[in-house]
This record gives sequence, structure tokens and C-alpha cells, in this order.
Amino acid sequence: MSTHEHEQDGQDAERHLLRDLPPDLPQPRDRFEQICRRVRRRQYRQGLSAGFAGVAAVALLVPAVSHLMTGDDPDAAVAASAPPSCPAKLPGQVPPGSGSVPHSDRLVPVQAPAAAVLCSYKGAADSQAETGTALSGSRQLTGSLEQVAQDLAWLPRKQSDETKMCTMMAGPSTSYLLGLTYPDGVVWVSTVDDPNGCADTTNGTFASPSGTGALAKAAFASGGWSASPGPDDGCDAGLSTGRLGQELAMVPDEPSGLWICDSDAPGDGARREIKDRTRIAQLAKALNGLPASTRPAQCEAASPTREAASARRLRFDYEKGPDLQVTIDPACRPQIDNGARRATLTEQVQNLVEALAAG
Amino acid sequence: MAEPEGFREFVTGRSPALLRTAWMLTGEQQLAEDLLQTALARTWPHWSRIRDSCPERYVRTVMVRVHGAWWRRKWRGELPVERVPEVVLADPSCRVAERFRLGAALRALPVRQRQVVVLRYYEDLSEQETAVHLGCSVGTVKSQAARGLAKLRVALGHPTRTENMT
Repeated sequence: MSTHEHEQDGQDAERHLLRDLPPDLPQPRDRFEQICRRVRRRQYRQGLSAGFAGVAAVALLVPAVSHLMTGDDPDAAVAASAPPSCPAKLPGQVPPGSGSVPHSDRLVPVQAPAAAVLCSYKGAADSQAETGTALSGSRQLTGSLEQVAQDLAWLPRKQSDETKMCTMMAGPSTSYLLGLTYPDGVVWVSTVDDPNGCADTTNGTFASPSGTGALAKAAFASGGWSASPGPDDGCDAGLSTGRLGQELAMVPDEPSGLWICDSDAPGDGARREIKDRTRIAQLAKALNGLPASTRPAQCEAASPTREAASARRLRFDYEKGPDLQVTIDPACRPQIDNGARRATLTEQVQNLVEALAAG
Repeated sequence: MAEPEGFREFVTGRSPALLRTAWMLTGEQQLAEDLLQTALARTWPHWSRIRDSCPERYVRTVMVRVHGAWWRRKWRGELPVERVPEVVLADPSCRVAERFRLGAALRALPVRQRQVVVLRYYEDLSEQETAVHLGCSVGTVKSQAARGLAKLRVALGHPTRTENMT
């Protein structure tokens, strides 16, 4: 209760209510560890800033840095790291990044950003947000941002001749701009949450056909970029968004594991995990040797007259980054599809897959 | 990066109270946690010098200033309004409804008024202490506190009083 003289004239009611106002707030167990990570990031950034400063600049900076390190003015601490600000209106193009963050080889760097802000632009009812749509909300994402890199850094690149088949469902749509802060600068990423999930994800230079609107929507709702629902076992497709390089090779990089799944026959007998890297590499090499194109496959519905051959899904796992899914569907022409490239099934590949599936 | 002696204990012991203050400033659980962690991370390098004086005051000051900096740098989808909109509830006499209205009214205050109200009437700081925290004059604290409180009273349906501005 207050002892200040001038407060005694009837402020108790409001004061009591204010005291009761905060709800029961959860106390995260890893708060101290998160603070440690923030301190490390701040020190890293300060170290980089000092390193890039020229000899002449050092002479100017010494008093300020000295004040930052030795002074106890909280203002000095405030200025160091701020998330980027959301544009007040949805721009026609993704805002250009700042600094020297590479953003032409990947959508975002592989490392976790130091800070992330998510800007939301809600479209009018049943329509997509258009250029000039006012900012409808923004959130600074909290918690670990490792998953941002995991989900976005490995998205495949959209090819110039790539065409996407999209549904035309009506419904509300929200555009998001994700501003990511790194020690080297800032990268902006644009994505859309729409009923058809057909919008690209782009940083203005690197575009991916993979839709990430649902991830952005979930992050905006929770305030953190949590782990996206992944496969609960080797043959659950989960929410695969593809893997960088799948647009160039049927099986990019060096997979470390493989699941062979029978799409038409659920159950324990329908999956097999392969750990023999030599045999996995042999299959990857055979798949990569097939002539492939980016043209969409033509598939026919199953019919009693069609030859009974079940579709298979191959899930290649990697030590870093997301898995890659390759389907082999006898009902399609061509039969093999990794989401970006398609190829005709050969006897050699079929035999390799059957041998691996048989153990 | 050595852990300062006693800092972990301070974080563990005082975070619940500081988090409540952060919630009063931001009105959002996630943002409050982020504000608190930011303030504690910025307190870390200065811990050895402030630990024996009043570290909680220092953290609170950092929180208020970081909160103000966030507010200046980006719009959070909220606009301060001169009059708090009336909230229609099924049972306006119950305490839960009153708290709900107070929370909405607090979030609708301009950021500086909200900071003054939180420090003055939630943290129970004096006008002088509040002025030091906010880096403004005592007169500003008086006027902002009076206006903020008046708006909260209007929202709560409490009779308005003329505050002592001297």
C-alpha cells in the first residue's frame, strides 16, 4: 500500500485492480539459457562491429565503446540491437535487405537469425492482400530461432520454366513479411497464407515454389517459430517443403538415410529403413542418371483394369537440412517425381528399389 | 563469457515480479517475456557494478527504455485514443469484468502514460523515482499520471476526481 501523501485521496480502487491485473504468467525453465544466448549474440555483434571499423573510425568510436562497456546508462544498451520495423503498407516488392547477408544462393542463411519480426497484412474478405494494404499487426518472434533457419534456408529454388498447378478456392488470405536480423545485416522474406497454398516464398532475389504461409500464420499466432510438424515415422510425409537442390538433381547432396514406403499399403510391413550408405548412394546415383524434366506428370486414376503396382515413396534423410521425398507412381507418366523434376522409371532403378525394399 | 556471480540467482528470484511489470507494459505474454529477457541480457555486462546497489531498479529502467525504443521503432497495431472505448460485458459488476476493462483501458493508453501509470500505481514508485526511470520531469509524471488515471477511471465507470497536479 502506498505511503505517498498525495496518493491517499481515493486511488486505492484503481491501485488494487492494477495489482491484480497480471495473469499467472508461465516461467520458462530455460530463461537463463536464453538470456545467455542473447548475451553471446550481443557480444558477437559488438565484436564484428569493432572488427569492421577502420583505423580512423576507431579513434572516433573509442569514447562511445568505452562508455558502452563501462557506463551504467541503460540508454547505451538500448541502441545496440533492434528488430527491423515493419513497413506500414504492403510493398509491391520485398523490401531490400541491408548489410552483406548473402541472399541469392538461399532464401535465408543457414545460421539462426539474431532477431525476427513478423509483419501481417490481411487481405479483404476472400481476397489476397494487395500492394498498399495496411499493416494489420506485427510480432517480434521470441524463443529459439533455429527452426526459422531449418525451415527456410533449405527451401528449393523456383525454376524459370516451372509451372505450379493451383486450386482456385476462395477464402481469406494474409500476406506476411518476415524480417530477419543477422550479424551481417537484414533479410526480408515474403510469404502468403491462402486457402490454396500456392504462393511462392521469396526474399526478392531467391524465390521458392514452396509455400510457407501456414508456418508464418502459426508463428504469428504463437509469437515463436516452433518446430514444424514433421514426420512421426519414416513414412509419414509430414509437411515436407522440399530441399534445396531438388530442382537440379533428383537426389541432391549425400543422403545419410533412406526410408522406402509403400503408399498403398499402410502398416508395419509397408516401410523399410535403409542405413547402408553405399546402397543409398547407389540408388541416388541411378536416379540422378535418369533424363529428367520439370514438366508436370500426367497421372490417371486407379482402375480395376490397371496393372496392380503400388506407388512407392522414397524418403532420403540428410545429416543437415530437411528430408527429400521422391515418389514412384506407376499410374503417372513419367513415374518418378521429386517435387521439381520428373523422370521415367527404368528397370535398373526399379530393381534397385525392389531389392532395397525386400531387404 | 563468464557468468557473473549472483546473476543467475537474481534472474531466478526476481523474474516473476519483473515479468509481471513487463506484462503491464506490453499487455502480451510473449512480448513481456521477450522484453524481460532483453533487459536482463543488457544488464549482464553491468552486473558487477550494480549488484550491490539496486539491480531490480536498473532492470526495470532498461525494460521501460527498451519498451519505449520498440514502440518508437515500429507500430504494433495499436493506436492510443483519447477516450477509452466502452467495453460491453454480460455482468459489468463482477470483478473479472472490471479487470478485463482495466486491462483493455491500460493497453489503450499512449505508451508514455501507460509507463507512468505502471511505475506509479503498479510499482508504487514516487513521482521523483518515476521521473528518474523515465528520464523526464516530475511535472510530466504528474500530468501523465493524472491523465492516465482519469482514463482508467472512465473505463471502469468510477467517479472521476480532480488530481492534485501541484
